[in-house]
Amino acid sequence: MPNLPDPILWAIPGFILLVIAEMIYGRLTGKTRFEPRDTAASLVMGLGNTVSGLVLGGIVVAWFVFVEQFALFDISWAWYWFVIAFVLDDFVYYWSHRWAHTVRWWWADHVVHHSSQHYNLSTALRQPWLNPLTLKFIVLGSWLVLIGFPPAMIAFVAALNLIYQFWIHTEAIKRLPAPIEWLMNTPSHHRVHHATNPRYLDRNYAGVFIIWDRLFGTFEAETDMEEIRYGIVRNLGTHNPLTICLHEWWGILKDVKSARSLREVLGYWLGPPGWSPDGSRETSATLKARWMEEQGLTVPRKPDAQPPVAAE
Amino acid sequence: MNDGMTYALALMGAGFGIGLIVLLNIAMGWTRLRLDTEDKARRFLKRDVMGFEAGDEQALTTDRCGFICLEAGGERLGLVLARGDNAVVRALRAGDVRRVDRQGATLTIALYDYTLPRVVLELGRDGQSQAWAERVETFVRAPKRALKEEARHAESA
Repeated sequence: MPNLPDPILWAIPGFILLVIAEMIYGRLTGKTRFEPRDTAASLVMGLGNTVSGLVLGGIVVAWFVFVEQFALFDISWAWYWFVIAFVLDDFVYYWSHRWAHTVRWWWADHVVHHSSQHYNLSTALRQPWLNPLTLKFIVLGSWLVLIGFPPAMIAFVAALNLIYQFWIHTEAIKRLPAPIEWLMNTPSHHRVHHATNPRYLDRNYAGVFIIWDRLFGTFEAETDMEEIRYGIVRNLGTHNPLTICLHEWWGILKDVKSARSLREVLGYWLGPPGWSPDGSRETSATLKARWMEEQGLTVPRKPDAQPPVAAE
Repeated sequence: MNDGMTYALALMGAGFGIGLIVLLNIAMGWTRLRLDTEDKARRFLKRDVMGFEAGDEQALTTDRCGFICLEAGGERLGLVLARGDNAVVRALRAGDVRRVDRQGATLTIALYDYTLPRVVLELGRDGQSQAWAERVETFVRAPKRALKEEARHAESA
């Protein structure tokens, strides 16, 4: 087994330099926006994510080592397996990310990344601290190990995937040449993903290849007709990293405490963000449906019948 | 160099980098949002809360960083709070407010909102803050314990 480095750790200095470069560029051109407290919060969340990865990452490693014994094939360390692993990992990432927006338990973790009202390179680093505790890696992370890809190879390509996603968190780049926009996730596609304008809600889940969204019907192109509103539907009133980290978990806890039946507990816990027993709160689906009605567009299905989608 | 040392150095470097970026960011002096007019504040409400139409009852804070209004029809209370170059918006329904206090022209609204537990609005004139305190009072929900106490007293009476 080759001794693979941790690409994210080695990319950190590059991240910092690029954030500074974007900040200066934004100040000179007005094409990107920063706010000191927001940037500080994002960077502290990023650092906390790295530390928590070191502390809690053992849980994930232990699981993968356990699952590895049931692997179907013994895949070698040849370079082409890295390429295949990279593509398959990106496919798994698409679904994992989609579920992170549609299941509140996982949204509680992922909402951290969406909680900034800015969209710049520092937003890319705004990451959750408790990810391994959501156990999403069991449900979605085990497949490649079960096929036979070595866990270290998966960890390596997953890190490359995350590094790719860093540079697309910017308003400085408008559009790239059409073939790239067709195949790859780009700043334009990912701005759509971070937008809370109803037309953009729960779209463009891709990590590296946007083709997954095109294939599974979640692609939405950015339009210049509408200014993007970043953040979450109900934006946070604080830059406190601890509150940013815990706010949705606290919300789940409060709601579950008030539940009057098992159905309500499950709805609050595993339903779409914004789910409530009487439908008095808003999910992405209801927001989108209402917006479509206001625009005089056809509502495809009853919002209740749609698969769960994310809103805060 | 062992792994532990590498991690420690990388984390220290990252911590130093964060401090540097934040200082640089502050030194750059980014524009802060000011709600110069009611119209500007209402636009934030319209942007963030679908279907919210502000009524005639509305007020800007003296520092132009806050805005409060009643929805046309009075069902919801709209709040716009400048945060850096953007605004945080809330449309509160009856029961969303924990408590409202007034001291001179300053209105302090405590909310059942984990990320925005307290809002302080400097409204300028005593009369204005008094009127708003009364309006906000109608959105207050008493804590459960207080309601239980109330019920217990009612029963024993």
